[in-house]
Amino acid sequence: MIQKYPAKAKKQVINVAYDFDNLYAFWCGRYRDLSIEEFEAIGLSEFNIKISSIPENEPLYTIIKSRTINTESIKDKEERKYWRNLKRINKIPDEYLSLEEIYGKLKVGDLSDFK
Amino acid sequence: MEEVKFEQINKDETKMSYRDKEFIIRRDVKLLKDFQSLNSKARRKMKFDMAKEGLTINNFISTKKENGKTIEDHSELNELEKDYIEEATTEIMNDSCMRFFNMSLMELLLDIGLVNDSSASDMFMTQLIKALTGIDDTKIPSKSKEASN
Repeated sequence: MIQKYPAKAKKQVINVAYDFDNLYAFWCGRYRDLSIEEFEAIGLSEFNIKISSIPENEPLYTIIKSRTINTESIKDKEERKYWRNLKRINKIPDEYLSLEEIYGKLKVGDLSDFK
Repeated sequence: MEEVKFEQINKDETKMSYRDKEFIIRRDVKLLKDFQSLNSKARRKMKFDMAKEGLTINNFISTKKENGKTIEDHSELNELEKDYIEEATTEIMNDSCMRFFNMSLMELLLDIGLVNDSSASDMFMTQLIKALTGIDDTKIPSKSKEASN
């Protein structure tokens, strides 16, 4: 049972596995000092709401901005160079998958994998 | 085969029930983190296993010359990588089942009575994955397109 999924799924802005330390540090700084276990137990709906409103002065905001910014639209040469560098440094490695891609992988194959 | 019911309680929680058993599947940061680390874990393990044998990924890439150009063939590496990803997928599914149902996926399938019914087990897996990832099968663009064709 092999299904087709888009080769390139929606671009990820945050990957919880890759950005875990930054997310945890942001959460503790902004909301509440939690243990890692407590942070991991937060429900995804609460997590998504709070992560979608990161203030501009947070380092995590800059990381996300660097992943989404169109550097070609920046007129100033130095500023363009700065954001290009940040974009390269903060890029989520290709080996980290989006949920859609994971879903595709989970759906591929049959239950013999589990036997 | 027992009837398995999936009922969404709220945005994060799904109740799964069969016979007199009830389980709550809760989508939290840990679950998302585990799933999103699937591929990187698989690749790291692959590279680690290769290093133990004194190999690198280059040992699985063959090259040939065609019209003066060097062409790399990654098919052997891709096959190997696929095996590691399948292994990591199985591991994550089993870990999730242990976490929510206190049994492995295979034990769960046996308990429900789905092992010898492939269409029922496929349907069950679709619902289980949806409960774990929150992604609705029908909302995946290529899938909807296939359905409409």
